[in-house]
Amino acid sequence: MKKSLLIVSLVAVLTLLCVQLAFAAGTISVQVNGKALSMDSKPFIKQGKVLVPMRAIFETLGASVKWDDKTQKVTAKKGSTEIALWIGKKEAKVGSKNVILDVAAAVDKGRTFVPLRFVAESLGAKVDWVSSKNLVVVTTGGGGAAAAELSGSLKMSGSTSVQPLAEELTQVFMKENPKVQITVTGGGSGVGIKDAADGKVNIGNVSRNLKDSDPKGLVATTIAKDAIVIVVNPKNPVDKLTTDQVKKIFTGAITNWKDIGGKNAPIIVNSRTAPSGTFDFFKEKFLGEDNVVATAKQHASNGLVRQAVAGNENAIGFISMGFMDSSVKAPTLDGVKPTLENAKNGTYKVVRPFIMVTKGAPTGLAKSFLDFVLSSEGQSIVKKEYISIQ
Amino acid sequence: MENNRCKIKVKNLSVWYKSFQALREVSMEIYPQSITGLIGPSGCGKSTFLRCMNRLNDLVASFRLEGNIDIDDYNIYKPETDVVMIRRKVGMVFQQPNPFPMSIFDNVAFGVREHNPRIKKGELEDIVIDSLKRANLWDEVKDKLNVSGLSLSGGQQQRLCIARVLAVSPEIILLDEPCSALDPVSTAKIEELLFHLKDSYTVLVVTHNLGQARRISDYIGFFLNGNLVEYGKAADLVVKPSEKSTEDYLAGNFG
Amino acid sequence: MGKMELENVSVIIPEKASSTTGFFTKPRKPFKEKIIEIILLLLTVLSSILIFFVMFFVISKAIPVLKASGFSFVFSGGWDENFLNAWQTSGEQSALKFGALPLIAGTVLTTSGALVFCLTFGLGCAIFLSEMCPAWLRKPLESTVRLLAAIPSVIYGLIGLMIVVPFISKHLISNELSLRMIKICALDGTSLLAGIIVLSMMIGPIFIAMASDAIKSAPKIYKEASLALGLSHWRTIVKIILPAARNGIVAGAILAAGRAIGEAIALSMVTGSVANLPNPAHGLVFFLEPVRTLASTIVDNAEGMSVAACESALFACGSFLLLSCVLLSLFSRIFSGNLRTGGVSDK
Repeated sequence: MKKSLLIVSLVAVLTLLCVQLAFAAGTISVQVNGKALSMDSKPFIKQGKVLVPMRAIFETLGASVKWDDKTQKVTAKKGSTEIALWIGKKEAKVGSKNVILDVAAAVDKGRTFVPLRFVAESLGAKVDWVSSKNLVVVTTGGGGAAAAELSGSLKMSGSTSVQPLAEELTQVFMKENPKVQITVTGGGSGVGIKDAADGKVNIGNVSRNLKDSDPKGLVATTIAKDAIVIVVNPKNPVDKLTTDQVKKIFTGAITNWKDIGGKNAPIIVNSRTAPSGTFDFFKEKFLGEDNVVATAKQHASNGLVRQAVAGNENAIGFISMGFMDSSVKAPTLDGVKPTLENAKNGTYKVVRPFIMVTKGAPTGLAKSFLDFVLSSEGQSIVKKEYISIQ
Repeated sequence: MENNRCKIKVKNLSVWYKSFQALREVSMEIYPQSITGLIGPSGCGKSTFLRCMNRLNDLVASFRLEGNIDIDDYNIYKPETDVVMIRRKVGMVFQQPNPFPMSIFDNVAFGVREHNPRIKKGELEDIVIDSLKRANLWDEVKDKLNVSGLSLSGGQQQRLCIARVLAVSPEIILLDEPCSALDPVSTAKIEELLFHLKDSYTVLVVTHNLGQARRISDYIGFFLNGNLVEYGKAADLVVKPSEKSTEDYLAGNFG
Repeated sequence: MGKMELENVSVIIPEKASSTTGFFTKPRKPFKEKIIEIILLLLTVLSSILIFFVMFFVISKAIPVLKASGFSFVFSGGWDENFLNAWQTSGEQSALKFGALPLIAGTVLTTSGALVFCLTFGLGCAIFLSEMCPAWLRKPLESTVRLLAAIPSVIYGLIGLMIVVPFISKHLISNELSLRMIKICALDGTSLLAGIIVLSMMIGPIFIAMASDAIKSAPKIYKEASLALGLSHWRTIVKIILPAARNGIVAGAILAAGRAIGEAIALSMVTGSVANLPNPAHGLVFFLEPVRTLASTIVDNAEGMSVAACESALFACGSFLLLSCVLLSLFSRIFSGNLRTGGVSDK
């Protein structure tokens, strides 16, 4: 508790300080990992790009610099990354790759100035421009604010649907911040909400929107979206369904494909086991208070449902859109084709959010982690199997 | 050799296990109501010879045979022969007493039940009692017929095995060193028993024990390296063997 | 290391002492042997403690559900509904009531079905392999059987899913039958029958290997005696060899049954994934109805562990599996005891 208080107050003081500095100076200032970058010459803007004194920025980012007077070449090296720039030339090199710059490195009053965004990003840092304060914020490491100083631990629990994604995100985050320890456990969306509200975990994983009945005071951050698709066997002539029909099928009110325009054959219902988050959402979306029919096969994973539907002409099931392939067919639902496009643009409605809930607005390490998840790096992980929120 | 009509007639019998020849052109006539002793050192082929009489050698995969064995003028190695019928006619007692792990009564009744499943209970009991009596075992086991055969002493077990054979009323009884695992007292009992049996059966005994061969046999065959070296009346062969090797064996010069 | 050296020094003294006590004195055990003995003893004790610990752990976890359900755990159904209820209303006392009859029935039916296969077809194979097979064929056949016995069960599950289940659904289940039954249970090929077939494929080779070993090691003297008494080979096998090999055959059957009872993945793939109690009143359709075994249920519902009631329910399934193991080993003990005292009976 003491530690987090200390961190919070420190951040507050620093922020105040920065704001004051920015206002006081009225010129461009640079902040690296929350600290103002001290420079012997003032940075300036050229063609919309900020140029900063070479030594100051490279040393702060932990890179070694070499200057070759003959070729007017600047070489900076950090770890295995090497970048090279030439005064007055727009060509630059990152490793062995050639890059064309918007603005070349320049010499002003005997000092060498380099384009800040290019060098910082090439060395793995993140650069943000706060135009209201004429402030450039450079952050190194994984992406969270002040990443170099990140340490401590986070606990997450909740939806087993979100869990694989959460685990993948935390693994990358922990790799970039070795002093951070995050544990992710399952339990289901309800458990995630309850644990977050009780303060048992820092972040609760939930695969549905918060409801009125959920505890108050929780703040949800949507990190991804996942569509659920009703699937039938490719040989099944039925290619359109309505929400009402799906409900009747899964509650056992309709048991013959004939009743909804198919063959005279029984409907083999494939559902998920009770703890499944997908089932949670499906039940909420389609069945409401009713239970799934007792004769329904109960599978433990999306893959098993797909396999069961692919293997039986009369089968029906529901899977996460990430599991769609040619072995099953997705009929239209209420006239909408369940595609990634339609899910993204909102016409296909059976989309559930993956949210991470915190008690109150996220702070400290939880905020750093959520920032990372929402950053382009985090969302590129999301995009692999789910719908990115960007 | 004998005016009596022979029971078993063996002609030019040769036996191989894989490429090893165990018997070489053995010819022999065996007479009913007598005991024929087969002697010779280990590995001379006398047990192989015995096991040809009831075709028990068929169990050995690499076994091969040439020549004839006629029992009552019937060649038992004819392809169409029913081995089971031969074995009913030719009983066998083994070196190691091997009563089945069942009661004394069941041991003796076992073969009878198998051959005649519908036999009446009283009839079966008569056969069992009669067989045990003839095997000189009745007095020792009459109060414990339901006890496991394995609980008897070695000598009793061997007599139980003889009773088991007698119960299915064979005509020929083969005994493969029946006393080698037994003490002298048990041996004497079995020798006495064999002596009585020869009145009704043709008995062939393989033995290591020269004294035993001399005591119980009417005829003796001496085997050496798969050959039948000498065969004749026991009294003649023992007193004045015609072959040098027989003489040496009887004298204990090898064996 | 230092400690070991000290112990080595102390070894010398008793050995010298024993050499002076005379020729007939029992030699003292070398210190190293003693230490090894003690270590082995400790390991044995430890492993048995571990077993008891596992039992205690499983049963203590199972108690909430077993206590709340009472006998209805064994004698009533409704597992899937109970589980959903427990999942959704975590923590309520009413959610602790479970009926596992369909699961227990599923376990018993699949296992006993596979055992029937073993004791008929499997025993026949074992007899052929050990008594009738020509010598040149025996070796390749034996190695094949052993290889089959070593294949991981999930492979058999895949075979079941890809071949057995589609075969059943295509050739044994008509559209009319399926339509007629749809309100009772969904017939799609995943069924008790598929479970029995897959289990039989799985435990058959194990049983055949063990049974043929047992038959081969039946005392040869009995076989010879029986043949010499004029019994046919077949009668000898039936009356003498099989009874003499009974111990080993039963051991094989028990091992096979143990593996069948505990099989989860392969069965969960082919038996239908629904806690349905097949109804014998449906005639042969009985075998085409879906089932789910205790072990498969644990695997299928494992995600529910985070809710205490669900966890307890799954441990209750586990405790029944443990119970069946104990019963099996008890059974094998009684059986082998019988053989030692009574022996083979002709009746």
